[in-house]
Amino acid sequence: MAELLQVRELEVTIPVPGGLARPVTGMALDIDAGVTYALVGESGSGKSMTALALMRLLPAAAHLRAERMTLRGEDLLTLPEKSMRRVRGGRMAMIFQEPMLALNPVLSVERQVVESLMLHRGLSGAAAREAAADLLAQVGIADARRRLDSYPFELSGGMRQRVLLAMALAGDPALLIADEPTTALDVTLQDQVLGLLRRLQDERGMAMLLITHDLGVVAEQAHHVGVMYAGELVESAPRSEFFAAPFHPYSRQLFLALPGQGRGRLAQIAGQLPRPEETLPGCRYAPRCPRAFERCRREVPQWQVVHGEHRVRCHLAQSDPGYALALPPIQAAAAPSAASGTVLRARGLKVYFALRRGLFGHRLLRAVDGVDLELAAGRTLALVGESGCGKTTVGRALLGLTHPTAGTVEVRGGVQMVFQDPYASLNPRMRIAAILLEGMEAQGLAPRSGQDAVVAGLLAQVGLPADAGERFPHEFSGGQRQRIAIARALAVRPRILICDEPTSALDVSVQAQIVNLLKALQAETALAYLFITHNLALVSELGHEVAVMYLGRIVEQGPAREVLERPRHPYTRALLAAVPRLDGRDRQAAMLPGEPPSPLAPPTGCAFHPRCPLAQAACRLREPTAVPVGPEHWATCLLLE
Amino acid sequence: MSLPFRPVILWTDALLFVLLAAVAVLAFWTVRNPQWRRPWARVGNSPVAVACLVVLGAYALIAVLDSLHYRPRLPQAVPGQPAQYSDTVRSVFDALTPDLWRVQEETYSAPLAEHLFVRQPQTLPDGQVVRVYPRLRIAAGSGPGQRWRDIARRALSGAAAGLAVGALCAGLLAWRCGRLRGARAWLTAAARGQAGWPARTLVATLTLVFVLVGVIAALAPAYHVLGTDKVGQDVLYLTLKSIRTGLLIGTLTTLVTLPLAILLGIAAGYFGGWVDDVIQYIYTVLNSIPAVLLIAAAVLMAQVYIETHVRMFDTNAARADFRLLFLCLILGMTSWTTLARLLRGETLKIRALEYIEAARAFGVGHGRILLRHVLPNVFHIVLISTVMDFSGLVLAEAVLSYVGVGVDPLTYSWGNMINAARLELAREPVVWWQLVAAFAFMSTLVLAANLLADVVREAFDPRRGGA
Amino acid sequence: MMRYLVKRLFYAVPILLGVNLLTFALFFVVNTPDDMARLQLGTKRVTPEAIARWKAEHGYDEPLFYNPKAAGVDKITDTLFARKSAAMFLFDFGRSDDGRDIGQEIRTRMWPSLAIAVPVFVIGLATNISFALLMIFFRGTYLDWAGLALCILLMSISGLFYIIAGQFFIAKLWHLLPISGYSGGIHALRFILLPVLVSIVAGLGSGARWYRTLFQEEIGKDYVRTARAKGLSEVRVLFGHVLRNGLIPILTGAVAVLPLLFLGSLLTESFFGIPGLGSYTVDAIQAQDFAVVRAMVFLGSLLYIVGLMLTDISYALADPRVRLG
Repeated sequence: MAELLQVRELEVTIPVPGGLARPVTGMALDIDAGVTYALVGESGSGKSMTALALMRLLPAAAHLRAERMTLRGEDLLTLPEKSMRRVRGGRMAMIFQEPMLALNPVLSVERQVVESLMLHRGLSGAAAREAAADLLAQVGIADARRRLDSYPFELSGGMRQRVLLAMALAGDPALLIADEPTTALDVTLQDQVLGLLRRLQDERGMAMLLITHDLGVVAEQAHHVGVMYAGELVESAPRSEFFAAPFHPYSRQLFLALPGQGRGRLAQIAGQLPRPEETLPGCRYAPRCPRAFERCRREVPQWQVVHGEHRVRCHLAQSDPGYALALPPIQAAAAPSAASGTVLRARGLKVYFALRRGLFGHRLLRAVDGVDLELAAGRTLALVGESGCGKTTVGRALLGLTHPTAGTVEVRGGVQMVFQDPYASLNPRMRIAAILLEGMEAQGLAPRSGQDAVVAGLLAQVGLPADAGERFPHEFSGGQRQRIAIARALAVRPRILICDEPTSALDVSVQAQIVNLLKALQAETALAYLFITHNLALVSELGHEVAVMYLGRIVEQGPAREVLERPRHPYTRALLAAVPRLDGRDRQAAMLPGEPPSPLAPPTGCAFHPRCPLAQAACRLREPTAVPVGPEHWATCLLLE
Repeated sequence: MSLPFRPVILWTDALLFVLLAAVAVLAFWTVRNPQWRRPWARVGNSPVAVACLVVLGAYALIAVLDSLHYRPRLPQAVPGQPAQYSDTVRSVFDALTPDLWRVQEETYSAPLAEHLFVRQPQTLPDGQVVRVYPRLRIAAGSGPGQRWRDIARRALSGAAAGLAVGALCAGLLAWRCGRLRGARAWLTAAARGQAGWPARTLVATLTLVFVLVGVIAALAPAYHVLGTDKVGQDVLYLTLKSIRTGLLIGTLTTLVTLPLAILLGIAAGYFGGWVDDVIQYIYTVLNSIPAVLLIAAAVLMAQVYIETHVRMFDTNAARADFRLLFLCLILGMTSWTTLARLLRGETLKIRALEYIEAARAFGVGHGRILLRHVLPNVFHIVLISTVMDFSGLVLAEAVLSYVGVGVDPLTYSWGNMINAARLELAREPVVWWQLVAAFAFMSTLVLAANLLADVVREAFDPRRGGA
Repeated sequence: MMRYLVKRLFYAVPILLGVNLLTFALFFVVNTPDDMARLQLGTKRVTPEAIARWKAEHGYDEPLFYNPKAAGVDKITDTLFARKSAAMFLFDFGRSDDGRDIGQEIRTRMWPSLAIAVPVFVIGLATNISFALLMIFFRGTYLDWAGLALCILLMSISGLFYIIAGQFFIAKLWHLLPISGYSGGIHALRFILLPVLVSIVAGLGSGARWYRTLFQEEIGKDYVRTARAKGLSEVRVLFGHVLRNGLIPILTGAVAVLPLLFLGSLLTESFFGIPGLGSYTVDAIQAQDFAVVRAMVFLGSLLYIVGLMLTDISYALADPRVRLG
């Protein structure tokens, strides 16, 4: 069988103080022409390092070794650097995760695309420009010829990812390596880019190595799946077999940690990744594996066939091959707790920012433009929307960090916030105890004596050891930091907690821990949550009610299950349709076109009309009002009026 | 009963001790706080930094000894009268190195010479006047013709003493650090550079310093090791005395303006709005005047002030000291803007971080936020910039003295030495030793400071995994 | 663009006014003109008449801000502030203590200054950039390390040393070039060669090291990885991508000092006897000629502000992300 890419026993080593780190070890890949191979794993699993190793673009200190690394039979390992440069961007191209940073900021799009064309197709002058415009058109950039003269800063994130893709396609690659190509994009843009990748792959018969942490994306795109853990490939299977019955305990934990599946409490993976310089006598997952037995800690598992092409590196495949036929069944969700008493009410909330322009002039940025919210004790209101829709500003306004331009906010009991970035939300120079006590001191709640007990109590509440108080933030992982941030908020005994994307910077398994913690806290203390997120799966996991925001306004609001199952606003529908689904079923092909307009110049009438598939002439003229569409469920759309 | 001396505390002495106290507090704080201990440990693990610290430590020791001033008691003319004290202000350093300044020659003499560099008229017993190279006063004791042998003998014995002290240090270290593995095992490991920290570099650099001190101490009673200047002063003494001036300018300047830079820089970045506008206006105005001209203007004015208020200063030393302090102040005025701007930018970044937002959400006051959240997180910038500015300031002193707006002409400084010596380059044969001595001592200090600054910056830079 | 320039000029006025007030305070308020006269005339045997005469001769015999003796508008204009400080806004710099017109002096002396400063600026910039690029190209090797060590060594040595050593070895010992002096026309070349050479060497260490840091920062960015993934060679990555981005702060920073080239270099000019503005300033400081020092302070800050404006403009030209407005 003539495989396009064959890799055996690939190992990357980096000398570090106190040893040798092995970010990738024993890696094996086989990719056929026209196939998408998805490499899945959490951060630190070595998947990006594998991609860089294939391109031979590793950092200077890293050392690359492999038994075999061939592309169309050509040995990439021994290829001299000069010939390797023809492969790079030629037969094998790569696109990266951060489209905002991956383009040279001071060169025009044309120069950057033409550069690749010159290198790999020998084009120049007008012919190159023509070919560049053609490529931009192929990646779905409207008005391609004009866009050639743009600079990266003038393009949106989705557009930049398309430009990067055009550059990668310039050499007509046989293999495209896509490293988290949609992670930085909103769900509707992710949908567009994934659709584009599928189309290009069909047209060109190109193979793709898709690196991602998102199982939904895998289910939608991949033909074959490889799961990486701590630098090793632990499972490799065709897509359908993998999703029907993942075998490796780690893969199964990943599935069970996904929110919104209705399988009850999310699975948590205990402990942390082994450090890359740590060598273990047995399986690298054994210390965290719920199914580990004595052999796992003693002997490194070799590849075992589960069924056909489904292979796994796990001793269970020999000792208990039947343990993992299917995932636990989906349960009926528990009835939501009854609402009791409103703790937060916002009416007509508006937040405008004046952007200075020139000496005297300024423009108004309508970040939040008339939002009504109500939150009851013990309940969670999920505020959903894409980046830039104003959802974070709503949270900050409710907390008083931003002064609202208009509207009223009534709060019963204290409000606190848990922020998005666990690395920026704790002062790196303060001990954890001081961080936890700060709010109490500021509000005069700190006890004179017995502060240690208070700190220990808070830490226990979020599941951290009592000795954490004496340590500094850098000694904790992202998930632990987020727990500390929650404990800090809880210290002043608020009744409302605003959670601003508290898990978006975390891996799935860590996200599960935080979600479980938030649920438990709510059950114990009747906290009310305003949960700000872009992740619809989290909404169904946590939310009792949901409000969908678009361009500073709420377009649909209602009980979570009601909205998710019977969305009425075209935007809500499009948003739900854009989420990749684990079962890989064909979704409605209603891909939402374009990108949200700027809040500096919102469209007239219904703000959604330029992207709405159902828009009519009236939508451009008249602003819709809220229409009740079910019990406590309303949407603002003219078509419903 | 009266003391044999009366202590004199000059303004710069007092500030230097304040600085030392501040460093001590900082060191105490650093040892207790692992956040600050880590980057310093990284500095301590760099052999270059350790060597530089030894060199800087030697300079600093001389400067501190030279800052303990006193006026010796004059011999009493009539017993029972109140003691009279000399107008000459001396320092502990002077008291420790009488060999360097007791014997003053007529004029120039070359390093390690026996005779003056210039012919002097001498009246022979028969009344005839001849021009000869007179024998140096300092060489009066030693026999003629034996010079090189004598130098070699003294140098060797001095070097041997230095080596012995170095070996003693190594032994002490081995005794302290070798408790786990045994002193001998530790010594062998350290000699191979495997002590876990740059112990080999420390011992080697210390020994080098001791050997130098030993050789000089052995030669000084009978020779001017680096020759003498136009009025016959020992050049080595001049250079060593200049160390205090150089170090003071490099450190006091930053010390006196640090509060201003920190306060204004952080305030501008944190509060924004009109506070920012006003502070930016102030530093744009100060920045827009070319530094040398601003310094020149200010120093000229200070000079006028000193000359019209002569009575304020009871000794020449106090007068020169006032001018030195003023120079530090005005140098600081021209350099605080850079640090303030850096701090403003960093504060702007930090202000938007979520831990500040969290503190504000708790209702923590501005003062507390600045003190607990902003200041500790910009402090590495203050430290890096202090260390990096040091060498520039030492170099600036020489240039300013040349332009005529540096330290008082009576103050010992490398700038004054260079200034006095450069005209003598036109002489045949050339008088080179003053220039070479001044440049060598100055460059050693600046080089050590620059290398250390590099390591410190690397260790504290958060982007490189620092602090 | 025009709008931006007008706006910037509008901002420049308060800054120049601040400079003006500051220097005025330094020269006239901290020390009175009487103090100055006493200093100039020598401390011995100074009669009040002599002081009054000196003040009248030099135009210092008026009140600071307000002249009650004068009539009408003259109450404001017949003052030291109006005559000596505010007049500089009209480029009226007055006369130096030896009676010469400072404005005229500046106009003739700026040419020799430029003859030294411009070649130093251009060649120095090119040398520093090339040296930095060379180090970056060999980054991580011993060559880079040695280059960096050389830079730190060069910047640890006083600028005075380079001048003195250059004069001593090249001019005095080897007689390759004249020690000092200046002449107009083509002969100027012989005289400017040594000062230019010395100045470039003196600036190499800190310049090249600083640029190396800038390039190093650029080379760690994501777009460089993209460029490599395209299959570009290291040289083309360096010249086509890194240099382009790294040059922006370098060139705009250089543009900021462009106007200040007029002032020349204090040290170089006075050591090499170049009759430029730098040596003029040094002479004035040494002779305690306050009128000249004041004029140079004002000129310096004016040129600094022009430099700031040029920086902004060059940023807008070099970096597509920056728009003036």
